[in-house]
Amino acid sequence: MKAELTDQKQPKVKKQKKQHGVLSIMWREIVKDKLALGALILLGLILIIVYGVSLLLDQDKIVTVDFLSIYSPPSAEHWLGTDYGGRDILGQLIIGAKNSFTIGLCITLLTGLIGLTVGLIAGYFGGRTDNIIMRIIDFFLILPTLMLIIVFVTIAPKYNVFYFILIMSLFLWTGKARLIRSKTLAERELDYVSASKTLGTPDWKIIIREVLPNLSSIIIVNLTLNLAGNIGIESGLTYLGFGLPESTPSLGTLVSYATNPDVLENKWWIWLPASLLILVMMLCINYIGQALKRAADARQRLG
Amino acid sequence: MLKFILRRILVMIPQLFILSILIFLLAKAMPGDALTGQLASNPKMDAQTLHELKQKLGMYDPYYVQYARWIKGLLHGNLGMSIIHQTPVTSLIAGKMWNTVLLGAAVLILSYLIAIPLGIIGGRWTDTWADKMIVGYNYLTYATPLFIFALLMLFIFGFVLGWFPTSGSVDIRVENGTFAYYMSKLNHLILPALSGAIVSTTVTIQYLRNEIIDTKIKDFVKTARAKGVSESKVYTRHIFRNSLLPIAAFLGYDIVSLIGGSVFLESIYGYPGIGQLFLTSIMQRDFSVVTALVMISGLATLIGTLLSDIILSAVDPRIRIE
Amino acid sequence: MAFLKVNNLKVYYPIRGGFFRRVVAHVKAVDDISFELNQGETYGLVGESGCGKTTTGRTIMGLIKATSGEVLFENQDLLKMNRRDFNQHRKDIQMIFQDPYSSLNPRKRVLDIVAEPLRNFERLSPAEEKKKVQFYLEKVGLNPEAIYNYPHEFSGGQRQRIGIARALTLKPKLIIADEPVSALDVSVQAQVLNFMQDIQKEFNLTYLFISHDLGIIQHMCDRIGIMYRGQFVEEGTSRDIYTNPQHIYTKRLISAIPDINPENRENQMKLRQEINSEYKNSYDKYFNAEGKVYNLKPISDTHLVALP
Repeated sequence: MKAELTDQKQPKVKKQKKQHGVLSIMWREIVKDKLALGALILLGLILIIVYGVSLLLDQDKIVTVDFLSIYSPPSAEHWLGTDYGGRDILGQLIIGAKNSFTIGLCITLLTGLIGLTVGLIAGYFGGRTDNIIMRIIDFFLILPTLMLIIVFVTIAPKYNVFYFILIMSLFLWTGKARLIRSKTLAERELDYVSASKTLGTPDWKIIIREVLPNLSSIIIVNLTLNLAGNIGIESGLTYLGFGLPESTPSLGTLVSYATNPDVLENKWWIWLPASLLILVMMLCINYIGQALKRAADARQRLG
Repeated sequence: MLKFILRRILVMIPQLFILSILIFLLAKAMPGDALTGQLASNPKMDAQTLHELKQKLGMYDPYYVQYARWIKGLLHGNLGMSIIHQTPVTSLIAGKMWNTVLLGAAVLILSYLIAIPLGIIGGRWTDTWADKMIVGYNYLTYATPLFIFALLMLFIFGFVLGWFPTSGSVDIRVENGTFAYYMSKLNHLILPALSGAIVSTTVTIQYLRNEIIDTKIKDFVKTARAKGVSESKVYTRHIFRNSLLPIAAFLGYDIVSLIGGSVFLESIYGYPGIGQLFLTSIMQRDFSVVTALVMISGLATLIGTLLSDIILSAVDPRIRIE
Repeated sequence: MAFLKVNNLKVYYPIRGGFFRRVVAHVKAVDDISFELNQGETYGLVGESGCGKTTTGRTIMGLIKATSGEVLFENQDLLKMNRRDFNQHRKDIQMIFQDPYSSLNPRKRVLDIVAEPLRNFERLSPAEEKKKVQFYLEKVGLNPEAIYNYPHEFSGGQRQRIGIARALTLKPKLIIADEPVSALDVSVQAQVLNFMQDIQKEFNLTYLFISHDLGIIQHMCDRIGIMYRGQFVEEGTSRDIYTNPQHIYTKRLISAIPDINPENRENQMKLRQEINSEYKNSYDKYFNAEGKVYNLKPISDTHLVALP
């Protein structure tokens, strides 16, 4: 009997290991999709330039008003011209891009953390816990989010970047929590969770070590797509004047100069580069996100 | 079905109540009420009259009294006075409301007009060049933030090409009620509505396209083909009917996203509606207007989701069980 | 004294209805059952799908909350224990799951899967742990070198063995096997079953064997309980049940076991028809007005039947 048992074909251990990690599958998918790879390279380049150059830039010099060169069009000295205060647009563009991206990332990570925690708890424990959490999330769904963010921004005392991130995160975690909850709900019905319970593994460990790794691809996809969305919302709010405070210029700040019809019509160098940069970054991140989404769904993989 | 709607409405009531408390507290928390602001600008206003005026308006009453008064007013359709404009908030909002409703309706209609044909083409002729164009279009519009897109549209069609007016909802020189007046209104509407519509087509196109692709290979469609039904009839009689119905359910959610969108659209196109009123009011600290607008938007969001849930449950009975 | 004793176990689920979602009725998944297991034996729990046999197993395991009743394991009531005590006893009761695909976490290596209980209850150095995991993998007939592989690299039968190795690591006394082979190919089923019998001897295990397949139960079990709609209809030794079935439900189940020998086909057919007509004619004899079965009554030392 024993001999018969051990004789079965078993995986050879020494054979070359195929990579099975979520990240390596995702990487393969991006490399397969030339456009996504291009998007990744382009985004990488933009980020390297933005973060690299902003280290070298003297921010004080950029924000210093220079009345001798107000609204000057692009020239050798100011590659992208200057604004109403004679400040260099290119420098503002780079600092703005850095701030927009960093803050978008912070909001994404914070909402990710909140959404993940809440979603995992609601989905794993179910029952009354789930009920209460879902009631709260349902309530958030009926809120006119944009307006409330604007109101909060207006009434926040000593308003600064951290407040902004907190206010945004307060309203934007619910979508993620819902997604994670529904996936956790499905996952906890699987026997490996029951098995862990019977093996004496504590609940928190099951949530983190067993369930969470199985959600990793969904989380990565969701965070990527969210990053693009958050950069959009941030710059949009800043455009309206209710986003980042003036001490922290964002891409939205540059675009907001276009509220002046004269700037919009005649001084394209002030607002157009920032608009296009937002557009390019969003397109890149979204494209990467879509490729990751395909990687997460085995049926849609390219290879 | 009726039970489902009733229960759904019942759930709404506590939500509405909490929303009203939240908004009331926010209004109270707003720094610098409008009266204090007048202290500097209005020479007739001194600290004493200000104090008396505040007392008269009940600004020193306990919060719950103020809340009760506010709710009572709300239920009577009285949203308070705009302190800046010295007019009832209701009439201030009513004046702008129709512009926003008009814009919203135009956005919705245009977005369906664009999305449904594109979704059908993409679903029916999958992987043709037309489908690939549509998928590309979807990527583009999904990634583009509304305010950037609207700004670019305004720049290109409003300023560079000069095809459309760049601000306002109607030419003030034309007489109210004439044919020219309505044409002017329409002319002012096209650009903002188109900007809003194009950006909001993504979900509908994607849903429709996927749905048609999925339905195409279902057994009942194969049966229809096997019976010898012509290809075009397979689509019109069997596939579209199944795929188009759920689209109706997006209506409510679209209304929800329109509320946020109108703030951007109206601010960019200088279109006098609710969104613009909200922005100017909040900058002028005219909080009775802000409060009323947030409450109305909350109500609209609530009704929007309710509408979608009801349509969805009418179309798909499985949802009601939940 | 019995090793495991289940007394009047009930598991009810509320049905909510009406406008305010009040509890209007209960689904009685397990409705007042009692039975006991002796150390070293294999007890079979049989019934059609939805009869409550899996619920019973999972309730004993602590995966489902019981509505009422007692589960005495070595004279201590598992249902009344707090979490910490229960976890200590959990070491002695382990489970083999039905689906070898969903019961192994696809993101973990075999080493981590099998070592999970060890990490919860014992402090071992990585080397000791690895040695122990390899020991059990070898016991269940797998290549001990395979510890760094992922579950999807194994076949269904091999995966079920990994599950068994995992259950064995804590040296349990009782193993609840919930349809351990029904997800496997017929050709692999016998291998796994025989192997389960081998380790039973080696580790002195007691099995609570849950299955819908009377053929397998006959092969595996010393004593058998037949469940129908959350209740027991008959309980007895294997011989009692297979040679002398009393309840009509048991008779129908047994008559449905396919016989390989073609010469018996005629007889089987006739038997089945007889039982069917008996079922139709004397339904009242076996089921009360609500369609429920009666309480169990002994007809011999070992044999109990639910008859009026």
